[in-house]
Amino acid sequence: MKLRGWLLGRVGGALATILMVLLLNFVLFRLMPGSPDRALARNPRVSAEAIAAARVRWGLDKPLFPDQLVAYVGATLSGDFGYSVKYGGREVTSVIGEKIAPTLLIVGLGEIIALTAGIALGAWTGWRRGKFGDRVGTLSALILYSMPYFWLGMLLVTLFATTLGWLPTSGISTPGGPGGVAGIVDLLRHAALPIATIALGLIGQYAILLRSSVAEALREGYVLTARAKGLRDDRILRGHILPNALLPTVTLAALNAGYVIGGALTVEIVFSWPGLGLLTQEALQSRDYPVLQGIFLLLAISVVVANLLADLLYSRLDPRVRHGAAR
Amino acid sequence: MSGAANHNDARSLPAGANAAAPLLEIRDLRVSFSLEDGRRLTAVDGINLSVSPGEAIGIAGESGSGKSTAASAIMGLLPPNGRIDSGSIRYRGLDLVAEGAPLRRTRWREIAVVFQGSLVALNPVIKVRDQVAEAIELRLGEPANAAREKAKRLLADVGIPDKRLEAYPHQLSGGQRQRAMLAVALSCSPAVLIGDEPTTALDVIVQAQILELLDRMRHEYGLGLILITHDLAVIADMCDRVAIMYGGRIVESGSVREVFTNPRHPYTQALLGAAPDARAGRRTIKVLEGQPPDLASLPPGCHFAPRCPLADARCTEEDPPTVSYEDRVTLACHRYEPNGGALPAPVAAPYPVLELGKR
Repeated sequence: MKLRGWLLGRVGGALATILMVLLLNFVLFRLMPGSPDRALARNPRVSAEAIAAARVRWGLDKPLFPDQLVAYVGATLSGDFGYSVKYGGREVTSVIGEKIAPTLLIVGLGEIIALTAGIALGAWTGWRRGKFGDRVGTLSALILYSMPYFWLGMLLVTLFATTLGWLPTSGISTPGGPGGVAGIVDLLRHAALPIATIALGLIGQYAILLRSSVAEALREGYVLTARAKGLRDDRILRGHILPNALLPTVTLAALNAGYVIGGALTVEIVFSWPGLGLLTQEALQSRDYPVLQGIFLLLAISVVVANLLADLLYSRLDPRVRHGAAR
Repeated sequence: MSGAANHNDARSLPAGANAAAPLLEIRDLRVSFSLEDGRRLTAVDGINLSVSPGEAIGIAGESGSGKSTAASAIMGLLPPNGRIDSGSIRYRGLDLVAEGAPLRRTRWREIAVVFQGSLVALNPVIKVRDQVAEAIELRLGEPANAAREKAKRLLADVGIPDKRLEAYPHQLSGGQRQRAMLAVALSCSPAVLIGDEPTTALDVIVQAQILELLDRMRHEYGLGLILITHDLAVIADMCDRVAIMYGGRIVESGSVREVFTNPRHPYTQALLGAAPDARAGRRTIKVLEGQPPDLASLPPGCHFAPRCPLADARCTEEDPPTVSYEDRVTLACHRYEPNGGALPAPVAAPYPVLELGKR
């Protein structure tokens, strides 16, 4: 009963947040300098009548409030995100939709690799805190953590694409390349460096967080009990320390999942990877409001949902939260 | 109880152990810690102690007297900066200090421990039943189902109701947690149980319940019990023998009756006189001035000399030898002469006396 009330509160809060984002999304883009019709007006061969017609077609002739806002909220709620200005009037949902998969591919795989490697590195260094292996491991993690994605990406391109020539420098596939199995191999060869960039950038974050919680857990009484029980080291680490120490890392991973869309921006630009990040950049440059609004809404929803997910996950994993007990 | 009856029948001893040797025997144990500034701190300074099956030994002293360090040394669980410098700890003749000692074999199966504060000693994200079953499964090699069944019986035995079997530690009360911790400690049917301040964090009613349970378990399981506490009343209620520790040494030991009725060492006298005794109608306390010794720079001679009203020049120069009197009491104090081993009369140390309720 208590749990259900808590759950309803969380979901309600998430919905309210999304609604606020919707309003902000509307206001924010109207505050930005420039507008689609003015972009059109820069072309001297477009007549004033054509511009006026475009304004009517896009609804820009009506007042911001209430007409434009009501139209925006109503349309968005019914799944209509409007039409792209840049992509010749194609529906925003289809423009965004075809970019989701490439982004999910590199960010998703990057996250999974980073989480796996970060947990292994964090547990290893935390267990050996203060020893040589910990210092080397933690320093490496810190260096990776502090490297910006674009810099890391450029380093990888220089090494593996330009110098060694093992992998392609950019894009998602070889133009006119093969199909079938060979096509998948071609895709993975293109995806390798973006995935590596995202994974390397995140490993440090997970490793450093887990290291500190493992080192902290090692001082806990239950670890002494586990040792007194005569358990082996790997059993103490996996059976007793990690179930406690992983809690913050799992939460961070769930939160990071919300940034799947936004996090890939710089990586996609470096590798010209045709995903949501690159689309965002293009839409910004061409002031493609409907596409930008769609992307921002998607981003906001995924962050809100990821937060909700992190909350639920944490309460699943930590019985103290599940039972609403204050520590 | 059914689980306890067959407990000691078919005990298999670890290889190299001898069923005829004393259960647990500590000889001249010295433990020190290295400090960050390079000094060494002597926490345990040559103690002797032995426990027989079914016997309860109390170790009393202020915090920092080395009593908990002794427990850690017995379990082989000293922190990384701690070291056993000399002496031996023998379980049924098996030296637990020697290089390559079979600690993995003896821990929990032979010697188990109940720590102070079960909220931290139990793992917060694991159900108590699984924490009891864990050692049964992993240390005794029993199948998971049998281990869970045995855990259920053990928890019932210590008074955890069936409906709390699937509970996590935070869902139990402080007393229930300590009961559960006791079930964890008894899970591998150890021969020796160390209680390191097992009831310190509990209120008096719950403390009495836990002590009663501990006493019952001792008799049912024939446990050798080492009870470490600063609470002399607990030792008086629970133990057969007592060792009083000060500055890493045992200054006086003997039967609880003898030591508590005729305290001879000035420190024992101070310890026993430091609490008002409601039952005896005593409203005065002896005041022990000064601080416990700095173990990193111990003065020569008796460690208690700086606070002792009876101390003279010899006390600050020579270590007092530990003398055994009539096999009933050991004393380490220059105020008492060996006089052929006959038990000497107590010498009262003139502590300042504070009368309670008066200003």
